[in-house]
Amino acid sequence: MTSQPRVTRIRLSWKQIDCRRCHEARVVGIPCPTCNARPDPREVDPNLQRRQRLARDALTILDRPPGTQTTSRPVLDQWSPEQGLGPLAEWLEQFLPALNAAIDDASAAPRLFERVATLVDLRDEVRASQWLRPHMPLWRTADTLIGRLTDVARHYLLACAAPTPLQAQTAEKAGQRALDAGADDSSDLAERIDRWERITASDHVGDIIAALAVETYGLAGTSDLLVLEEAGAQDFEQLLGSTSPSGMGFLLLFMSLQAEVILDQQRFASSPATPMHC
Amino acid sequence: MTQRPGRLQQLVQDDALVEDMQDAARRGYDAAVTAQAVLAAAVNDRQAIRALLALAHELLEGPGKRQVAALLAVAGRRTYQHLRRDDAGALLQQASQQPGLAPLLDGLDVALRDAKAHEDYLIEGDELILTDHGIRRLNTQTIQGLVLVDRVLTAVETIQALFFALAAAAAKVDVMVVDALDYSHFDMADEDVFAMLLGLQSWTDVTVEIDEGTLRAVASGELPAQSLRPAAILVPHLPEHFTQLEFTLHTSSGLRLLAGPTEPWRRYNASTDWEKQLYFVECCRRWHLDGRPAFDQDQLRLWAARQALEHAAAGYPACIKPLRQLHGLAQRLQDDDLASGLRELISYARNASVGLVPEDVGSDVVSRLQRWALANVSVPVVL
Repeated sequence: MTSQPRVTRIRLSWKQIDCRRCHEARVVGIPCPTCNARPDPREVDPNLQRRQRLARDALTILDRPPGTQTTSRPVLDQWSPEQGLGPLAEWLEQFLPALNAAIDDASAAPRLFERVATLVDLRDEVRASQWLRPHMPLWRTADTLIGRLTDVARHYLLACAAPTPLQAQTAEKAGQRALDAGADDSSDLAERIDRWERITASDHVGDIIAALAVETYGLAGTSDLLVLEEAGAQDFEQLLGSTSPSGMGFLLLFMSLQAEVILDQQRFASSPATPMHC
Repeated sequence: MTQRPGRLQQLVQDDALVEDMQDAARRGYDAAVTAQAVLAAAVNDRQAIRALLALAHELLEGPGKRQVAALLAVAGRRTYQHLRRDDAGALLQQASQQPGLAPLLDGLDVALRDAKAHEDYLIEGDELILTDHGIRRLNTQTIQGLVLVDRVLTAVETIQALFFALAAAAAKVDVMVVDALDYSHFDMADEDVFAMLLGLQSWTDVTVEIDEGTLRAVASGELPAQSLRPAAILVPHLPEHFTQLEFTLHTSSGLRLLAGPTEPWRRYNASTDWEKQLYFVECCRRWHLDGRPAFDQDQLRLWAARQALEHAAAGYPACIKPLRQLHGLAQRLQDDDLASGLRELISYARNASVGLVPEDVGSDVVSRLQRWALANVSVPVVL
């Protein structure tokens, strides 16, 4: 993401009553943690019930299978990842505020549903798109990132529906972890976009090769050819099970970078090993 | 490919294959360069599509066909020589019928090759339409420009992957089918390639001059603390006929000169563990920094004597090989005293193992080596 989301917490509260048996305070609707007395089936927390309905409806949207969109909202007219992460960053910035607003006030629920639906639209769009080279790596990272954002939404919605503070905390922590993972993925995607721009800055082949070499160096974290050759030779041995001929390690690193930036890295990395065994 | 070692052995020993692989690398590179130049200059989709189609054709007929023939030579019964006479379409057809090979051939597209070869296609807007003898059939394929880019890049991916597969399979039976040090397909003069390699270690204004087997480089920048490292780095990338390297470096503290033979570095690169250390010490003695050897004679003797005593202490016969290697080092470096000391130590160790030790001889050579080993000499950090 271009900027970190400011909000990472949601505000939840649970109605408390005194236990009829031991008179200790406990959350409504659950067995008493002190004396284990079962709750009265008639006792309810209307706020929690409303939150649970909200979460249930939002999760239904989140789990909507592709192609079953009921409304036609052309919000994301042909977004593709090389246009940048704007829509994803925006989504992440708006989701938790929208969730907090809907927790506080029932009239804010439609806005939350709209945010969740936007994410699902993005997800459907990315999955229905043709992932073509040279943008294959961008599509793949964008898809991973959308998966993270889906996790973020799911965990926070589960927190919102949790019957006890402890369960809510657990779900919220999982949400925060998904947020962190999403931040990592997005910086990875942003880096790929930058790298691609640096490599293709020139139309001259010599410059492109030099730029690819510089990126290979940068990626390997060294400008030392010996270290690169060794690292590449190790990859070669691991991938292909035979000792790397001299000079080949560097070449492999170089071509892997190219595959990572403009080709299908997963296919490139698995292909050479296949004919070795057939 | 490694499941049929006999076929593989036969394939990689085929001179035609080795030549073809170099040729394939060159063709692949040339095709990419041409396409890049045409794409950069192409002002409309029509020209770009034509350039991509030409590239698809080149990739299949050049590297693609040769690699597929190599795969089939291992998987099937016919020889590489025989297979490479077939046309690319027929080879691809055969290979795609083998379930193990089919997924590896993604992007190598006979329809695109035929369209280009027979000029049998139309371009409408940003779409390529493959025709049948000029006629647009009902079920005619229409390929969007973006899809065409993807297919051509898939072919590049396939060819690169097969390139490594072939190189690795050959390496398994100790054959080099691809010369990673042949930069000729880059269309850059050797001087420029080496200048680029040196430039990548943050030296600037690098100029390279080649004089027979000697490579002279002049650059601005700093010498690393491990001052021989630039030589160690460059040598693995130099073709065998380069025997001598000379660096002139303009540093912030003045001019530095680094010069020496490439040969000990090649042994250094090809060895491991203790031998690597041995060859490194040889490099240090034979390489000159600002006109003086990186290791002087005392430093060499200190290192060699310590190693010799350590190995001798391990006993016979384990000590013989390393002691002989140290002796060889002393001979190559023309240090006669060291060489004779080591020769005496070898006979001393051998004699001691059979109980034939004249006490005084033994103590003499050991104490001479001990004197060298304990000399007050500092060993500089050079790599």
